Formats: sequence, structure tokens, C-alpha cells
Amino acid sequence: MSGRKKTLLKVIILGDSGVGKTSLMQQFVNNKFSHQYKATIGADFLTKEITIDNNKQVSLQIWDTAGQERFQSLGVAFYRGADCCVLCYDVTNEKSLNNLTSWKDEFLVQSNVTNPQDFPFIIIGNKIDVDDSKKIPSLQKKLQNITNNQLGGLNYPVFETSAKEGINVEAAFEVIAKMALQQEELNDANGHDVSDDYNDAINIHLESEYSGCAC
Amino acid sequence: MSRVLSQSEVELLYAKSKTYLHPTSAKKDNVPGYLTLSRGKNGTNLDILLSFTPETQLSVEEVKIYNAVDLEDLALDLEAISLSSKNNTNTNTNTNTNSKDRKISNTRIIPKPSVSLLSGYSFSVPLSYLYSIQVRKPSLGFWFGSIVINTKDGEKLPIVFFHDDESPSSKSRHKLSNKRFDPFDESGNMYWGGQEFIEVLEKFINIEKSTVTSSVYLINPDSHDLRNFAPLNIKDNSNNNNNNDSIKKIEPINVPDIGKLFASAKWKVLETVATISAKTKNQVMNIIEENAPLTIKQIMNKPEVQRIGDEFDSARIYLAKWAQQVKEEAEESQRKNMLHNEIYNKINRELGSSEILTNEEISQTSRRHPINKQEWDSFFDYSGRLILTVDEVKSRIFHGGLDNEIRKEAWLFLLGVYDWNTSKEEREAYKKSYETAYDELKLKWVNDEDKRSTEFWKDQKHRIEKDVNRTDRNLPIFKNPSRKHSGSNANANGNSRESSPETPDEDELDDEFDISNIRNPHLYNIREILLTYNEFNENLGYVQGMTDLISPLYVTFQDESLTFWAFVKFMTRMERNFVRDQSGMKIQMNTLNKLLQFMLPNLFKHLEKCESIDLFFFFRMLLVWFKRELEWDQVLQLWEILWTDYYSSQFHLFFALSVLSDNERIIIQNLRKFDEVLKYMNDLSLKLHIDALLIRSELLFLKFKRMIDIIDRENSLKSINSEVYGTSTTTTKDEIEISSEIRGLLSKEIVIQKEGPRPEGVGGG
Repeated sequence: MSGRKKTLLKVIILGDSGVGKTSLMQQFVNNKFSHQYKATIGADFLTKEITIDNNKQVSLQIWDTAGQERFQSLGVAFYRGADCCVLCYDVTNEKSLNNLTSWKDEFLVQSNVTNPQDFPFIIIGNKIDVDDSKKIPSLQKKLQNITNNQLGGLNYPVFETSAKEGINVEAAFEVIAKMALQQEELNDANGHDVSDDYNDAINIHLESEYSGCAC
Repeated sequence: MSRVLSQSEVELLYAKSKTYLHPTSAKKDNVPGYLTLSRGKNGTNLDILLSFTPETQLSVEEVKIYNAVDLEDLALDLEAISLSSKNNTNTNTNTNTNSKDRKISNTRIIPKPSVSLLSGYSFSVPLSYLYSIQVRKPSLGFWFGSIVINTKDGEKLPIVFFHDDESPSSKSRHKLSNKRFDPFDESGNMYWGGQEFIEVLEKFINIEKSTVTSSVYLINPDSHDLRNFAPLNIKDNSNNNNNNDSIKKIEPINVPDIGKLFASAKWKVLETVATISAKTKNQVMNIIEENAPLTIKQIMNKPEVQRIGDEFDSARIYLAKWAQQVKEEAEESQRKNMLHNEIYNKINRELGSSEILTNEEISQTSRRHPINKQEWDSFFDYSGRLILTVDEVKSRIFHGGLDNEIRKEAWLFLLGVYDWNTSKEEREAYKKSYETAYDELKLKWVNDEDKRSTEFWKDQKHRIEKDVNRTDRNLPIFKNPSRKHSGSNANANGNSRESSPETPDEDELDDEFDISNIRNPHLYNIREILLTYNEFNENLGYVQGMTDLISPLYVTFQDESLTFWAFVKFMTRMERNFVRDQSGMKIQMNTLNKLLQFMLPNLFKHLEKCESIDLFFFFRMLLVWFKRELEWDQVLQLWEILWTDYYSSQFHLFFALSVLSDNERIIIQNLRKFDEVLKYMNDLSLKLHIDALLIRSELLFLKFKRMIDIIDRENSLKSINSEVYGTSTTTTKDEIEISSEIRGLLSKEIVIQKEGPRPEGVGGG
């Protein structure tokens, strides 16, 4: 098989229920927005092919997750092999901002990544389209507190977006893709690439009408 | 008397009378006909047609010829017939000089059998088109021997059964071999029609017995095929040794073997597609045109092969879906063309139920029409008391479901809000006390300002509002009223109950999906019910997914207090899905895992290879009982069936198993990785056909129950034996162990798991 295998980058979106994880993914992949996305149960993903650094083609596999914490205990099933983690909050919901640290910790515990110290995270504050009156008072200051490295905070790139209006979504995901690519290359270099060259011999199926009870 | 063949005529080389197709398991549907080999003008051995022609399609004259050829002395005739072209049996050259203008005896000339691959109950294919033939001798349990013919593009022709006891030629040959005091030939096989057929076929074309499965003959195999049948592949073959395929024989459009198709596609995509029979090909091409994502279209049109290797991973998931769509279309057209019974028979055959279940058991499983008002009313006497047994009613609901208009009555029984043995008058009284009790519960939080100002309460309220606001908003009942009719009060719901202090602020009516702006009175009521439930079941509280569970209840009752109590009852069994540590969900997925291992071992092994054995993709289906997977009406139907606990209180796991069973073939052939399986299963959403799945679930359950019975009996025999003959220490050694999870599936008792007290400082998340 050809040596040039397309790079698949796995991105996990986390954050409190209702901050707009599904909307962000939908806006980025399908350029659409709906008020009627149901609460995500379980997990699902969408894939989008993009070109970064001018000529590098990558597939972004974006995983949308449920926001209620208790459902994260099953996250271990799909965090595996993640290349980047997106922490989302809602600019009108202070609690969702305060919870970012625990989302990050939870991810590191569940995903078992090899480089927890420098694993790529990115922060997205969504819903900037809403009235200023509803936004968290002195948002920037609170955000700074959370991201301040001196305070052991989340020193990661921050994007403020509107999934509804499609503002800044593309830009955020471009950075996500670049960070994910670096992580993937790092893993490759460390020999952690798990992509298997499966055997694709023609499989001839002999099927019989008889019931196959293996007991 | 002999003459040269015309283009539309063929020479009948071999005919076997009283061969049958069994399109259904019912004897009366069997189609008797002739299995024949015939050769057209200037045809090589590879052009010889293998055909099945029903008796009813032949004229009296033709029948005479067929019968005569059938009865001729095989040994003599075949030598003569095959001599002329024996030399090129194993080659593909068509230098069949001898046959040019060869004269054929009149007694062997028949019109060319219809060339369509499969029309009605006949088929006719050239030998060059054959891939393999599986020979299944008559045996105990299979009275009639049969052959399964596979064509080169993975299609299966209808299975041909040899009713040797009816065929004059078979009877005479059988008698002959008895007379010779040698009823078995050299290989120790008893004479039967299928073996004779293979021997005849061998005279015309190269046949190799598969080294893997001795009952399979490869027809004119090239070296590549032989390699694939080498013993190394035993594992793969046994993996697919399931019974999914027999059904394809009667489908109007056969599903192409996508796995095989695409494997070869790597070097010859378009050519391979082109070899599929015209009908299927058009289907497939249309589906590509209309539905396949861009990547697939690109692949299908790319001449260079190299690219495809790169796209292979992502392409597989699309192909799986694609296969699913083809299957669905085939089933759809079947639904239109087949009697309901036949669909049911089809599923039944596929599951191999008849081998393990009695006909009586199977016949109980068919679906019936929903119970209508008239029938429902006839279950009760003048005082509104049930006159049937509860079991009878449940059996009826289980097999047919309910008409929508009686749901608001019947569901209250099913959920246990009303006892089945009450009179109408008693129920009226209950309803009153339910209302009072609900009002009291609600007033408790309404009047408790301290409670409502706690962090926990605010969080939970926020959660509830957010989710209520995005639940089933496509239903007319949950659309926001248009602004001008909404009135000044958000609580304008015609309900006399006092507006609670949690009434959303009127100033914020600027965005109809704003979560603090629930203007639809029904959504508002649901919010009130959930806030009350959040208090009523303090330990559990509101958890995401509950809005999906309450919505069908509310829409059915459209009554706040009745919906609340119905929800409370429903949650008794659903609480385990929502507990903080998720142990209830894990137990169910683990049980499903064991059930899968027990019932569909091949699929289990495949999912193991895909690292999908945690069955994570069932999380959503199990959490809210397929609410997101089925259309609204189907959700209502499934739930009322599950509420009966007719066979098992965990019948939803059998429904889940039926979804897997229905997609087994596609999954095994196309999907290889965790994410592919998850995507495929997630995308089955709104594509499930509930009636077929319900039949399948029921048959799976009955088969399951029978298997447990058999194992139990075996075990008890073994333990008796070892008590009598053996040492007691080995008693349990040979016994087949059935885990408690598996055995628990036979219970009709609801499994209850309650949430413990909420630890200090822990939120409702």
C-alpha cells in the first residue's frame, strides 16, 4: 500500500451541558446552525478534511460528547488516541467557565495520554452573539484568572466564537488542527502510532443456512 | 431425428425432476421444478446454462422432453455428450470446432431457458458465472438434501432442494444401487440427487473440492480463489458461518456482497460494479449517485487504483451504510410485495429458529394489529373492571401495541399508576388523590424560598430548562405559540394551578429558544413536573435524558399530575440508567455483551476485533430506550411493549440484540474499527423498522430461552451421571455455566437500582 497515508487527527470537545459543543461541531463541519440540537447522549463524531500550513491535507475527526459529568465515566472508550482537546464554555454562564479546569483534569485521567504536561488543549468561549447584558460580568478578568499560568491555570489559546453566526469557528479549528498535527507527529516520532496496516486480502465468505450456536 | 440448433434453442444435457425451491418454511409454498444443464448453439462448456425452471412454466411438450432426459441412463449418455468437448473442459478457449453445426437429437432440444438471473422462481446462469456450490446432503433434521449456488459477484441463487423421494429418476437409481447391494458409493456416501448433480457437472467443468469446507465445491476456480480457500483462512470462514444468507434467495433485489465487491474494487472498482446483474447494478449506481458522500463518488470514478488504498478506511464506513441502504430498499420493496407472514418467515429462517423452536412457538410470534378502542373496551365489564387476565391483555399488547387514542388509558395500567384490578370508579378516586399528592409535592418547593436559592437547585433548574427547551421541539404541541396569541402571561396554559415563582421573566421574550423563555405551556408544564421530580427523588434529581423519557408521557396524557406519577413509575425501572457512577448502564451493557456472545458468537468475535466489545454505541439506545433511534410513533409502540414485561423485564436488551442481528452481515463484512462501528450504529438512527425488529427480538428471546432450557437439562443429566458413575469432585466440571446476568434475563421482575444519597458538595452533574 502507498506510504502516504492520510493523517487522521482526533479532536475531543468537552464542556458543560449546553455550552454549544454540538453547535460548534456542526457549524465547522456542515456550516449550519439549529436551535433544536437535542442534548447529546453518548458520543458521536463528524469528519472534515482540511488543508493546513498551505499544503498539508488532514482529516479532522471531531468527537462531540455529552455535557453532564456523570456520563464522562464512559469517556475512556473514545478519548483514546486523541490528538487535541477543546474545552468549551458559554460566555453567558460563569459556571461553565469555572468548570474548565475539572474538564481538563477529567480528560487527562480518562485519556491516559503520554504527555499530560504538554498535551494540546484549546479553550473556546461560545455564544458571543448574545446581548452583552447577559454575558458574564468582567468576563476577560475571570478568563485571565483561569488561564494564568502563574496560578497553575489553563495557559492555552483562547477563541471566542459564535457557533450561531459562524464567527471565529473556522479560525479556532484551524489552530486546533495545527496543534493536533503536532501532537500526532510527536506520537509518531515516539512510535505511538497505532494505525495498523490491516490485511486486506479478499475475504471469501462461506455461509451456511445452519444455525451457528457455538455452545 | 436430429437437426442444428437455432439461436433460441438449447440442447438439454441433464435434467433432474422434482427439485424444489423453498421460498418460505411452509410446505405449500414449495416450488417444484427442473434443475437442468443445457448448451446453446456453438456454446463452450463455460457457456452451459445451469437453470431452474418451475414445472408450471413448462409446456406439456417440454415436460416430456425434460422427463425423458431425466430418466435416460446417465452414465451412457453423459459419456457421449461430454466426449465431444471434453478436451476444452479446463480451458477458457472457445475453439470448440466439433460443436460447430453439430446436429442435436430432437429429443433433447428445448427453448433456451429465460436468461434473466432471477425472475419469479426461475434462474439461469452460465457455468462461467458460478463461483461455488455448497452441497448439503440429506441428514437427520434435513430430510431433503440441497445445494447452495454462489455466483461470482457474491449473489446467492435460491437454494435448490432435491426431493429424491418424488423424482422417478432418483427413485430408480436409488433402487438400482440397492439391488447391487452397494447402497453407498466408493466414498461411503448414500446415493442422492445433489451428489449426482455434482458428478454430472464435473464432466463439463473443472470442480475443486474446497480444502477448508469439504461440502463446498469451487467451480472452475482460478489460483487466487484456491488460495483463499487454503486452511489459513479457516478462521475467517467460520466467522461467517452464520445463517444470514439463506434469506437472500427470495429477495427481489439481492444485496451485493459489498465487502467482497470493495476488496476487489481496489483494482477494478467500476468493472466489478459492472458485473453485478443489471437490476442490482442500477440500484447500487443510483444509490451512489444520490446518497454516497463525495469521497465515494470520487473513488468510484477514479481510474487509478493507488488512491483507493488511502481512502480505504473512511470509505468502508460509507460502504457499510451503503450496503445498509441497499438492504433497506430491498426490504422495503419486499414489504410492499410480500405478505406480512412472509417477512416473518424470512426473519425466522435467518435466525434458524426452526431448528430450536417448535412450530407452535414460532407461530405465536407474529405481529398483530394494534388494539383499537372497541377491542380495548371489550376487555372491561360495565364497571370498568378487567374481565381478561392481566397476562392475556399483556400478551395482546405485546404482540400488537395500542391505537393512539387508548394510550392515555392503557399506559396508566402498564406503568402501574392504576392497578389492573380496579373499577372505573376506583380509578376516578385514585386520580383525585394523585392530583392532591402532586400539588402538595409541588407546593413544597414552590413555598421554600431557601431551597430555591441554593446552588444545587439553581443548577438543576438551569439543566431542566435547557433540556426541556430542546426536547422534541419538532412536534406541533411543543412549538412556541406565535407572539400575538401568547397573551401576557407565560403561564397561559389554561391550567388553574397557580403560577409558581419560577415562572420565567416576561421581559425576556426576545428569543423563542432562549432557555429562560419557555412560552409553550406544555413545555412549561414539563418543566414544573421535572422540578417537582427533582425534589421528589432527591438523591437522583434531574439527569440529562429524562426529558426524552417524559416527553411521550406528557404528550399522551397532557395532564400535569398524571404525567408526573406516570413518570415516577417509569423512573422506578429507569433509575438505574441515571445513577451517578453509571453502574446501572455498565451492568446492562455488560449483560448485552454476554447475551451477544451467547446468541451471535460470530458477530461478537468480529466486534472484539473492532475493539467495540464494550458496546459503547448502545449507550444512547439503552439510556432512553431507543427514543433517539425510532420515529415518534414507533417509540410509543416500543415502550408500551417493553412495559408489559411479557417475556422479560429486560426485553429492551433483546430489542438491542435484534438491531445487531439485523445488521450482522454488514458489520462483519465492512467494519473493522471502533469508530467505524460507532458511526455506523449511531447513524442507524431513524432507519430502524420496528415491526421486523420486534419479530426478530421475540424469536431471539424464544431461542434464548430454549437454549437455556437445553443447557439446564444437559447439566442436570451430567450431574446425575456423575453422581451415579463418577466421582463427585468432577460434577461441575463439564457443566456449562450460565452467568447470573444471562439467567436474569428470563425474569419478569423489574430490576430496581436506586441512587444513594448525594455526597456533600457534589452537584447534580
